[in-house]
Amino acid sequence: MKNTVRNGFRHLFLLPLSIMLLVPFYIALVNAFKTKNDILASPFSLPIDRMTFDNFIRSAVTPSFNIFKAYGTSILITGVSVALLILITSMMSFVFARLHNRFLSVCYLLLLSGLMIPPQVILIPLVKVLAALGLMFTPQGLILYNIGFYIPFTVFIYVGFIRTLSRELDESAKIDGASQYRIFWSILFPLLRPATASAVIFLCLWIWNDFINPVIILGSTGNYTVTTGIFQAVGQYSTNWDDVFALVVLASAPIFLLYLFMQRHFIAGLTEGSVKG
Amino acid sequence: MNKSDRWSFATMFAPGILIYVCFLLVPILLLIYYSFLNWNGVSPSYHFAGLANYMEAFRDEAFRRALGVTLFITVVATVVVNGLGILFAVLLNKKGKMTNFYRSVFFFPLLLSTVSIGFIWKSILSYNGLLNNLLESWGLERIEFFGNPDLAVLTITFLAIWQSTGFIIVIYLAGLQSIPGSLYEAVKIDGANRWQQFRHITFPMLAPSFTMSVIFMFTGSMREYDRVAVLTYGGPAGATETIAYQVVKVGFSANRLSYSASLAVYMLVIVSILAVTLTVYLRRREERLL
Repeated sequence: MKNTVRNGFRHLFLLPLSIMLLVPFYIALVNAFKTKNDILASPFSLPIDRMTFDNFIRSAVTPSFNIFKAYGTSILITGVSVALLILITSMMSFVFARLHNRFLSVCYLLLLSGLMIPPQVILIPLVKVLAALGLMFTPQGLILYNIGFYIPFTVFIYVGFIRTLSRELDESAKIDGASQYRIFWSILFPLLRPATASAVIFLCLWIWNDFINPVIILGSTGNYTVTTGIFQAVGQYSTNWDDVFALVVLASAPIFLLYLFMQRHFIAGLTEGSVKG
Repeated sequence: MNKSDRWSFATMFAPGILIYVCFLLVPILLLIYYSFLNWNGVSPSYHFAGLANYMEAFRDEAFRRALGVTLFITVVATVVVNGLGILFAVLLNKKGKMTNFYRSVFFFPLLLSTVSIGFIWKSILSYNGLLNNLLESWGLERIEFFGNPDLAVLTITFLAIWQSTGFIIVIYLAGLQSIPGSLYEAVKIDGANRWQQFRHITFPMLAPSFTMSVIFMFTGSMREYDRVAVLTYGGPAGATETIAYQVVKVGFSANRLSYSASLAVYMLVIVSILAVTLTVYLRRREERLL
């Protein structure tokens, strides 16, 4: 009895709060399908008979912005960055977890201190480095930077996880004559799935949603991601909320759909692999 | 370890460290070097300027104000988000259909970019926004959420809290799930009530999650940039500029590369000292509690 009452209070608290949290998203979604007059007259309503796709048609493709090009660039940059990060840092973390010497300790400390570095701090010298390498204004430059910047976080997740795996696994495979590459990729890596899942989710979200780095590294002309593209498409002083809502919905749709389909894995992946060691 | 093992380990290690050095360490060394020059970033001629940039930055009113704004956002957001995070994690640490719904809702803001969410809020809260239109049609006055300097900082802080809480809930939920149930059984026998259970078991056992969340919120808020760029462009009259915003603004728009490098070094030093101090303190706290 006491428990039912307590649970009742819990819902009384959480339900209105969840609805309040959803209001901004509801407003964006509903108003993306309304005319400017309807948006201003009644922001919460959805007049079914006057629903329109004009906002999307008008703002998805303009002379200076193409949402499909932006999707392509974002998918390319996020996909390649995350795949290479997992490939490179999982092996690197294996070395950190299994070998111990002074050189590696110094490297590990250097990597962990990278967790604290605000990205805006290194942007200016980074631009000079990328320019010297001929990588400024290219997706490759942004991808390499993403890898460098997120190595500390990914190593941090992997090293903690690998240390919880018994060394006997490596040693018995070693006796069977397996190389270190084989030991890592065919025995350990499959066991790292929870860590890999967490890392992939976080890295995808961060890199997909990243703003200042693509703005600077890709520059203002030619290449843009979804995030930097809508920022430039909306501009500073726009009050055309009909276009803004349509752009926000277009920008968020891919992640939203992915979330709907993978919700269970998503929440499990976030909570399982992230805090260990 | 034989020769082929050594070769394997070396080749597994090399690509990562090489990229890290090229794109993170070298830029930091360059940054420090630039901060001692008087370079505008494009001119072929420049010379050594000693500590001139640092002295100027030290007296820079705008930078001092930006530091104040950043620290305000950081302290308020870190405290409030961690309080809310623990509260909601405890409330959501149950099974059931509704709980899954709540979790999905609370996690949702962390999926979308600060830019997208920023535009949604801008359309609601700005002077010509939806909320102010409603207020006017009800015969009330429009509120300058972004036009009034103090209110603008508060609005940005509120939005930072609104967007980060979901992620912190995730960290605390993971922490809660690792607390063995047997601990609760033991104190329940002693007749401990809910609050006592929370005080003596849940909260101390959450120490590692607490460390992680505080550090995450701290480092995240100290680099606050995206929201400012979308919502206010640093305005009105620089009132919402954060240190990250100033470093970028001065460096790229004002063409004062060496000066902005000295601001960036200040930022790096402040963030590092505070982050290391916090981490050491929180780790000691963990050892004391666990």
